[in-house]
Amino acid sequence: MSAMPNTMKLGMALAFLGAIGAFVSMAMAWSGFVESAPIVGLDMLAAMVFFAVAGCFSTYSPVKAPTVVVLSALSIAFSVIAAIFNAMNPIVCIILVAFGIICMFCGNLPSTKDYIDANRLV
Amino acid sequence: MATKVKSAAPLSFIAILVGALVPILFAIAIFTDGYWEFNFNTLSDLGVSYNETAAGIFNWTCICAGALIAIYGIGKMLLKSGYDAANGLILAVGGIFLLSIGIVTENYSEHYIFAYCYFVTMAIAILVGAAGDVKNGRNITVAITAMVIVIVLAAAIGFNIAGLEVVSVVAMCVWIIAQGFSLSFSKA
Repeated sequence: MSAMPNTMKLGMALAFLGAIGAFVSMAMAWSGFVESAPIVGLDMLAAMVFFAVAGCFSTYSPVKAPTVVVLSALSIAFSVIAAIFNAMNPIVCIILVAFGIICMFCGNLPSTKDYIDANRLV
Repeated sequence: MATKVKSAAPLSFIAILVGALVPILFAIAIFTDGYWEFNFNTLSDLGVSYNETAAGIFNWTCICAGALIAIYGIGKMLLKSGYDAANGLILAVGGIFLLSIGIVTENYSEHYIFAYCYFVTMAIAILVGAAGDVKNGRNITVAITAMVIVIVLAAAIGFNIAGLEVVSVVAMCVWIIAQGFSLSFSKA
């Protein structure tokens, strides 16, 4: 098995940071009342997708390389949706979008594609 | 002997220019108007704004952007084949509808027909474009299309038609920039 490319490590690190950022937003969105649950849910959705992207950049990726790119784009989409509905601070959203874009490009690089397709379990 | 080589660079430039400038010009029109409110006023309200500058900026942006999208679509249709050519043709039709939105303002009842036709045409263009992107393995463009569709669907649930229109227009601009970059990197 070849060594994991640095692009995958970068993608995983940024996806984890994105997930942590979304979790922090989720905690800040909770107002103590059940009415804030939908807003908290939007942040949670962004965090979950970022965690999924981080998992896709692991040694034995569970999905094909193009799926990693689409999941990264969806993490951007959910961050933007959270910001549109005032669930996330716009500055946090911009940072998460930047992380998502880098993850998207990391997933599309030939070295990442080759590694994922060579080591994929499913 | 010099050989002619087809280049998609001018078309890509047109797409990126339209995608980048339209939201900026609409934002300028909104700030010039001063009374326009998100999720309450439609973008078309700017076309009949009490402020003639705001109305002029909105209408001329629609006219110029529509003409440029039509040129981009026709060029793409001639340059490509299959799904991409179909996408170009539908985009050209959508561009003509956008041009009509700028000419036939909200004062006329026909305006709404052109507006609905524009959004339906662009939705079909995005789906046909996505099919072409999947077929040709353009992963980044497929991902951006998926992102745009998810954002618009979420806006459809959370906002009324006025808010949805604004989110859709911005999403379309992002999509058309992605298409422009995709075309510039693709082999003609």
